[in-house]
Amino acid sequence: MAHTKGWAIALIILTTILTSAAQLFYKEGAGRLPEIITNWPLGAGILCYGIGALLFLVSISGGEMTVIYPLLATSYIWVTIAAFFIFNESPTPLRIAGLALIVIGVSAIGLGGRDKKSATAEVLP
Amino acid sequence: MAQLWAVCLVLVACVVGSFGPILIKLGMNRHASRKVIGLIPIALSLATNWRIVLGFFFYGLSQILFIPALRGGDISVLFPLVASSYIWVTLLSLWMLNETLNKWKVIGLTGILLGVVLLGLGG
Repeated sequence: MAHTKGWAIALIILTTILTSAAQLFYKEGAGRLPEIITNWPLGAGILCYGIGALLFLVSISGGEMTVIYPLLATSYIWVTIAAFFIFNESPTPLRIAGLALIVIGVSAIGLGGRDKKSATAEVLP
Repeated sequence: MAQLWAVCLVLVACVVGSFGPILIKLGMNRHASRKVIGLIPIALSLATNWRIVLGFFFYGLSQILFIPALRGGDISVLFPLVASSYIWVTLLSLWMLNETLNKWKVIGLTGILLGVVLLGLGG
């Protein structure tokens, strides 16, 4: 398949939201260790990672890896936004610039997925 | 900065981890060619797909290797190294998945890499 389907891109963005949430849950859950059974953040983190992995599987069957995989960088956007607004970390100019570049880069990758001329053979080694 | 062993560990983790998505993609190609229908059959087909299982194993292994490595350095060095996995996966995709690059993918990759480096420097 040459063209990366829109639903695959939407799915991978959803995956990044889930894995970013999972990291936040892990952070909270790790702070509650060695509590395990009632450690709902830990469970929520595992669940989010698991669903994210499944969504990644589905998404990758709808597009090219050279498009889908770099889109995972979107998680940097979510995690950094969470750092700013949930953990009150300071939005330094470098981090803002970095975020802007990632947004531009992710958008460009999305455009790169629309190329119908790039031929990829169905590879089944 | 970062200790040498941590940098080496992160690099190894990146390369190993980069084979994960490639294997998963190959596994999904194989799964699609089997044309399985139904929730349980699909679940079984995926779970017994050695490429997918191995791919997730490599990815999980790389994540485990990251944990001690993160103690040996600060994120201004480690962030860019982790971001290098985007380069490895892209190169492996060109080689093993017969994918091709276009100008948007190159622009996008460059932007993402620069962005992650700046994020690491600014944090």
